[in-house]
Amino acid sequence: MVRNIMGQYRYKDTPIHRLDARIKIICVILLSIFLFSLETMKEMALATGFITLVTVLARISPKQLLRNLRSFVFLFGFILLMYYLFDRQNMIGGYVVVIRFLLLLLISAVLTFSTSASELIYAAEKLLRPFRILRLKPRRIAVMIAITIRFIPMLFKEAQNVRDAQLSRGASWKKPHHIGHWAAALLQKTLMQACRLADALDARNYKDEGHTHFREYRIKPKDMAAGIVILLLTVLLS
Amino acid sequence: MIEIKNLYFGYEGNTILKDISLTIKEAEFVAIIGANGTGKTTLIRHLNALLEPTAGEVVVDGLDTRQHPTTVREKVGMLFQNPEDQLIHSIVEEDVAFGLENQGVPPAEIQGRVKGVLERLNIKHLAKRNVNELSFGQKQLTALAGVLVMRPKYIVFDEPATMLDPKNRKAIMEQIAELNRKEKITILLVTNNLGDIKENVQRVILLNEGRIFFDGPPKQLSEDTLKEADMDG
Ligand SMILES: Nc1ncnc2c1ncn2[C@@H]1O[C@H](COP(=O)(O)OP(=O)(O)OP(=O)(O)O)[C@@H](O)[C@H]1O
Ligand SMILES: [Mg+2]
Repeated sequence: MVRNIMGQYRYKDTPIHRLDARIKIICVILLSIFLFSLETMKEMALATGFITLVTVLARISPKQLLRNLRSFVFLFGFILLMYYLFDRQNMIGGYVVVIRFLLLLLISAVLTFSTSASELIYAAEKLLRPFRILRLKPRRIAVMIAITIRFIPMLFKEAQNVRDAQLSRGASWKKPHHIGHWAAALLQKTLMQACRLADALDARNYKDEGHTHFREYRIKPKDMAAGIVILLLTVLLS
Repeated sequence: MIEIKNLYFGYEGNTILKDISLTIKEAEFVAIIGANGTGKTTLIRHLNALLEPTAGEVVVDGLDTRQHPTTVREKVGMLFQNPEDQLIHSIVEEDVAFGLENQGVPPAEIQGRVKGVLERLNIKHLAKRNVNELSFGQKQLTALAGVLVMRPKYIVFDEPATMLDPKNRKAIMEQIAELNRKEKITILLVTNNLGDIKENVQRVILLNEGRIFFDGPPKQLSEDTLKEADMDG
């Protein structure tokens, strides 16, 4: 999943791509809350209009977007079918639920399509700073995200390797205990990888505090302005 | 100067390193050789405080590795046997910057140093690439960039050429020799390939079953000594 989410970013020169990642994350959260407070078709139409505008502004390829939404078609069909079977008078309600979901998927897609992993990691670290009073270490979480993004593809590869090794030595994928062995071998490899990773963090003098950033992203007035516009829109519409 | 004094090390009662004493001077180019499982990796992991001695001590420029692990790690850069294991970030330039971020170097300086080191190793074109998509040799250069950017005084290489084809093998060995020659960086090179010690290396340390079996210039290393340490081919 992580591979999926992170693999979609492509740099394009659009206002949405240039918008600071922190503002984007906050807006996505606000809009999501807002979407769940929508009731009428008129509000829906407004929200749809706004989110479509943002999607167009971000120049997200419709093809990629559709590929993303494809896996949800079944879910939407199912929701509509349920409404049709059990609550036929209230089909509108069914449409509202589906559109709400669609819009939710759309705005998260806008975020992941227009923001690089590094920007997301940086933003997560900065947004979590207030939680330091709860002794949470933002840098730790940011580095954890970075490591996850880095190692998930390796884990997939490793899973494949172990499977190939077993199959080549006559293991059968149908026998439960062979699957058990596979899982055990994979777990062992993952744990060893974790040990080596801990060494790497040590060797490279990983620190929770007193560190700096390769790239500093500054919130500029226009980032602020965009954030305020979205905030106002949200408040006005709800 | 790196001083190892009567170093013993063991895993759960199983002694791996036995009474190792060594002094490594500045700008030396030292090769550490020995059969598989004799403790080469275990030994060099003491040099940047990844392991602590069971007995004895390791001192880098007057600093005990147990008391000053952070400073020691800034002085002693380390390239792991598998470069994959030491890359933290997915994007090459971000990974190269990781150590400097931890050191608290200001962003502008980090950017300059990262750019400089990528240019030096001729991998500027890889700056924005995902490390998962790189070849083994490219991953190795990325890891080396991450070490060089810290400007270490000593660099330890754990079998850097084992997984490389002859051409890349020659390239990385040349690269290492150059670091020693031009920048006077002290090099400790763990290798299993006797060919690697023919050029450039000034001193060979042969380990056998956790002990120093030979320590001297490559020329004095005889076939018989190698045979006795299970290093004959
Ligand atoms: N984490 C560990 N726990 C227990 N024993 C270990 C551990 N790591 C290494 N050993 C043991 O320590 C001994 C020395 O290992 P080391 O990796 O230092 O050898 P090496 O000389 O680097 O070998 P190679 O040439 O194969 O890399 C081996 O017998 C090995 O089995
Ligand atoms: Mg080794």
